[in-house]
Amino acid sequence: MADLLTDQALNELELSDREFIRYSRQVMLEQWNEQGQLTLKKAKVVIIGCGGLGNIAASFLAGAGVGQLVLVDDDCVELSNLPRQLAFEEGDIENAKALALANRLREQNEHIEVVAQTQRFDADDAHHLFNQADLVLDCTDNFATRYALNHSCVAHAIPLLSASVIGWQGQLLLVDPNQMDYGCYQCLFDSAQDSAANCTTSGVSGAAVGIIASYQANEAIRYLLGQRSSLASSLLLIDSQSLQNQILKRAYDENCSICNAPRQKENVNVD
Amino acid sequence: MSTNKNHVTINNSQTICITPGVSTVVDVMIALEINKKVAIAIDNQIVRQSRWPKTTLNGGENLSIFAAIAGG
Repeated sequence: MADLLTDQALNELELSDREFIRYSRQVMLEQWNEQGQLTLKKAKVVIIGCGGLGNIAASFLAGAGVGQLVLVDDDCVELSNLPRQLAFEEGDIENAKALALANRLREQNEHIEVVAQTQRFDADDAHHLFNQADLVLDCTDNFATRYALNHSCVAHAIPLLSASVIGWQGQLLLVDPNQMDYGCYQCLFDSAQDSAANCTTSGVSGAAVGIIASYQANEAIRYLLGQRSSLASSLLLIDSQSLQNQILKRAYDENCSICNAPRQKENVNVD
Repeated sequence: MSTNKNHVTINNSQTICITPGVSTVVDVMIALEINKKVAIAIDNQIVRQSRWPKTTLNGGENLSIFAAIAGG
């Protein structure tokens, strides 16, 4: 994968008149403003998984003007994806999801750069993939990749915004390398989770996917804008049937083999 | 009406009896016959799994019991 922009090019970025008009409604927001828009333009977000969550979250980030998006997925579009993977059309069936989504995002916003990787997330490639990344979105559909991604993000000190959905329910949390007192994904769910339940076997509401992906995109934008996210210290449970959300406070697990190992190493170094 | 001190509430619906100051999170799991992997929060504070055996309940708490989901 080619690097997207050099440091010099990033520093020289500014908003064109056309971009300013395009983004004018969000720039009006006090917490966003023109400087924030420039920050988004300079940002690089890696999206792992281009299914339901990735489709919608990526579309919001592209629309908002996040300058560099990297899409990673090895799947192809299927007919049964279309009710919730709204960036895809019938003509995309059997095409690679990452490529189809990248094409759609480029059509959506001429001012951003999109790179597609048509392969499954590989921890051995994380160093290159995460190079200069500001944020990683976990939009995957299986526990094995979720744990591998969590491990890689902790190891590379890259913030990870993890979303998941099944049925009518979703979960969302942020693993922030600057706030590791609240632990990582594995502190919350140890790695021996029952893996049978997924959208293929248990079903999923397309609109519920949209709700959770929208939360994920909104939180990603807020994080990139430098706003404090309560999801760094908590887990959001979303129930689109009862319309009840629950915020649960997290804490790191001293037995966690992923994020507690560096912590112990730090303690040894201090001593 | 029964006193809350002898009960905990599970996911804002079901209640079960406990022995205040004695029953632990693990006792509740056994009583509910939950043997799959879950996470637990007591009054919206997640309790790390390694502390379940030593976390005693005083009665009146609300326990949120939920499993990880992987769909995307």
